[in-house]
Amino acid sequence: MLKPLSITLIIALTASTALAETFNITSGSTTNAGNNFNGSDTVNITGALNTGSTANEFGIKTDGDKNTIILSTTGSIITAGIYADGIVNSGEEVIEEWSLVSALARLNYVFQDKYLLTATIRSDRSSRFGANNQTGIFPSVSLGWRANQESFLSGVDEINELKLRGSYGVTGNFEIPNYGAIGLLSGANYVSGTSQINGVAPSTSSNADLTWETSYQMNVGVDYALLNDRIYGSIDYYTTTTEDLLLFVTVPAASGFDVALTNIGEVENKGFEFSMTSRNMVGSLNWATDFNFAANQNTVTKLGPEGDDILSSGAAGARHITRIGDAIGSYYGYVVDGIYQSQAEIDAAPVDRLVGSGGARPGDFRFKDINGDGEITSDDRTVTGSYHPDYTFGITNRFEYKNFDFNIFIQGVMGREVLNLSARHLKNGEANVGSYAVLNDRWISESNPGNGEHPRADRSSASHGNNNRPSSYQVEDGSYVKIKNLSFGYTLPDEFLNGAFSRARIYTAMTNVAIFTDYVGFNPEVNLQANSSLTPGEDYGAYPLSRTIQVGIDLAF
Amino acid sequence: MKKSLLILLLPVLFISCSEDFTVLGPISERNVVNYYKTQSDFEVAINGAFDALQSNGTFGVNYVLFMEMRADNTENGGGATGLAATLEQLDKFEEIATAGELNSTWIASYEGIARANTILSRIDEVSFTSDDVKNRIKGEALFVRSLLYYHLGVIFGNVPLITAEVTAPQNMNLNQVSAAEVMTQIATDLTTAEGLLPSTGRVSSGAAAALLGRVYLQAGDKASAVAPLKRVVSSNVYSLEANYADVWGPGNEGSSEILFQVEYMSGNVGEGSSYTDMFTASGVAGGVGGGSAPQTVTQDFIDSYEAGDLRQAATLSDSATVEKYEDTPTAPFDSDVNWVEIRYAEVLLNLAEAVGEGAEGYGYINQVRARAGLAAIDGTTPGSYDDKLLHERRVELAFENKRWPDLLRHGKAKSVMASQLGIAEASVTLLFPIPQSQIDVAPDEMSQNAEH
Repeated sequence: MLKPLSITLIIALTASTALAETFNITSGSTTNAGNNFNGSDTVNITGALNTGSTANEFGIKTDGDKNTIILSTTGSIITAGIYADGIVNSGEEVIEEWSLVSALARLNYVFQDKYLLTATIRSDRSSRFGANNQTGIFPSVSLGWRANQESFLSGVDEINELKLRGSYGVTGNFEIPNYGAIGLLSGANYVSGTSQINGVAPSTSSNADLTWETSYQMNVGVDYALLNDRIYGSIDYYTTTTEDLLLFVTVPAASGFDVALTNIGEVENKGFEFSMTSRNMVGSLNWATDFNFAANQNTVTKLGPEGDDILSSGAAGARHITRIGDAIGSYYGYVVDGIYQSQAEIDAAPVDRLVGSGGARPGDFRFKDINGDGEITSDDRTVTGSYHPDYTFGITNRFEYKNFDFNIFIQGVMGREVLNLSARHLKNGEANVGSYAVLNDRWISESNPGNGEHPRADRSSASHGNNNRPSSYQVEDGSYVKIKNLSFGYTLPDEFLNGAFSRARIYTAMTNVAIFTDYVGFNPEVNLQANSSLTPGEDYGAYPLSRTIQVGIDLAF
Repeated sequence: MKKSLLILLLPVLFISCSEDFTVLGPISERNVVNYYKTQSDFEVAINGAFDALQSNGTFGVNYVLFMEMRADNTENGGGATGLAATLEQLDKFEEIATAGELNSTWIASYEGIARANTILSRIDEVSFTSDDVKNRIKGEALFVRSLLYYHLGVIFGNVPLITAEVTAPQNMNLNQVSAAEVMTQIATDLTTAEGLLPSTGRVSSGAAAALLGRVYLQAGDKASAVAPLKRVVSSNVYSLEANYADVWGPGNEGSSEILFQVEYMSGNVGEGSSYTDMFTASGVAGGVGGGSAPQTVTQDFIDSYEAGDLRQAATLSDSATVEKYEDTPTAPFDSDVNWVEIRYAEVLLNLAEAVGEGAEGYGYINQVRARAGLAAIDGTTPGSYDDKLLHERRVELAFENKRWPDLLRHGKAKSVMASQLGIAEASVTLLFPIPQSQIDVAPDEMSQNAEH
């Protein structure tokens, strides 16, 4: 849902001081060798060596005795928290460093301006990985054939460009913490009598074998331009297999750790992309349409030595699963199978081992006995949806008539589910204010059962039917179609400009114009844990999108 | 083309010249590669193992829920909603395997075990300037690990038995064993620790022997419990405090009755105890208990005191709330009161249980009764020896996390709790469920306790 213009006022006072410094040292050497053999083919060979090292320093800067801060303290704000009389009584400085050594060799070969070949091989060694496995080798090759240059197409005027492309390449990912492979210690102080005494304890686990996450991508595609460039675009099909995923996976706490950074599993992404620009009308009225469409299928194909599932916790307990055959980070929980209408119905249903002390009551959810063993246990959890959409599209229409222009951009995401964690409070009467309107359709009594989708209001369902357990109830359809941008402009005729400007355009534009969705939260584009691929798609009170209206003048000199 | 090939090879040559360039260790953070190298490193690391005992997942809060609130001395306030509703479920044997307290207890206990394991796995490779210090640290690590495993064994029963540093958590062998095997390991470790530890200190050889006696009793081996408990008595290091109330509180940390205590201090430096806020009447507003104590003392317990028992006033306030750990912290969860885990009165009562009925056994019980201002008992006093002993333990060791293991050990948990709560004996489970998330992470290696 879009709210009208919103105003956010942020007033921040802070009592801590931090410095961030980054040093980058990069040295490189590049050698090029080129040779035109006989005018019709070109060879270009590049060799390069790059070394880079980055140190980040952040924290509170202190002078030598670590007691007096260098940054001046003025006023009373700073003394409120950490400082008293300019003395630092808490603070820390953290210095980190990472380095990368890369070598690259590239070969470009063009034959008769029709056949194109690029081959690259690079080798990277990163300090972030375990001492045993720092180096990754990443080759790639791409081939192109400009078919429209062939004699058999030279007479076909309708085809302005037809290029067939194919490529295969390997890439690596090293976006992990600087010391991801080395177990760190942190303070764990204890007490002796009336004094605190220093202690340390491991806080992260080591992994000397940690190495590159590697993606193998195959791509075939066509670039086309037809009918005097009235229609042009590209079509692509790809499969990407990513091995040795770098993931923080939950590990048995008996190890002393909750999570460990590890190379685990393999994910396959298969997809199709299509883009087309059509200049529908050319003349005094110009009308062009850009259309793009993409479908991607994400499937986990391997996991760990035994293929064990990975359960992951986001903002509210373990509600995601990564398992072979499903999309990474799929939602995982019980399946709602209707609402109990009467005590007799509860008594006749499979025994639910997860209900609270007071037992389920009429109006509570009936959960599905997935494995059919006659009772509801943790074995009855299953995949209930995924954040990965089935397909996405975008359509832009651009109109120009005389000096007027008009653009509209529509975006769509289909077949995506969102895990609405706020539903645990806003659909059951727990919130004092601001509940979702669907609460009106809740079960009230056997004779007034609402729309059959929402359970009775219950502020402590943990003691009763446990309606808030991870389930299909919190998984909502997050598909949407959105009018993302509208703009309307008028370009002043040259005679008004008097030569003062080369161009002047007056315009008005609106973003987030309207959204069409069944999702009950503010914004189906939400992704609370955006930096964790194992727990995507959570919404726990995300801000609504603001609608912006702009009025402006573009001036060019 | 020959020239081009040479250029292609050039970068590869550079790489082989700069191996060290990407060998970088943390600059400002201590880590497992550069630490655990000297005696002083281990002197600091062992403090980290003790730190795990302070945690809310262990003695800070959760052990009280499992070892004390579960039993018949106290109950959850009742009518609890929200977060406290799960405490009520724990009190009434209605908890489910996903209850957060189960998992946080599991995690915090194994964190302490891992800290001890890391020390034990690495200490022998490092030469110390003092063998006494090395022995003390090894003994302390074994003691901390044993104390945590004792709690895991009583609470969860069938738990992974890990006795070495885990270097690859994702591929670890979980080794889930029975409670009996856990107790056997503890007995071996405490026997070793007793030989390594000094006669006094934050963990003495006496503390290790006392815990060993307790573990033997809990494992049902009374005969083996006698010798270590008698070693504590004959060491003459420990004695009963003249005044019962003088065992607890900030001024009494040096009491000769205390064999082992988890130390806390106030001052808002993260070393305070949560107990006062959670379970006594004078918690600070902002603490979970907010001063109104989710742990409510049962009438049955109040009524169990004999007339004239001096312990009652030190244990219970006038309004029948827990008085033993009263304090007046100025910040939430920041009480100065240490957790007294092993004290001499328990040693005497354990010894009375180990030797069985007879003059010697009554003698140990009567030492404890005399301090409480009560007349001696003997074979002619009504009731069975076990009942008299259990009663004495109940009032002497009230709110000290001993009641639930007492009921378990004497086979009374089902009958006592069923009658107190008005539920069927079948509903009274003897073990807590293993946290669901610990089963989920390794479903092939971990199995749930049969009762759940």
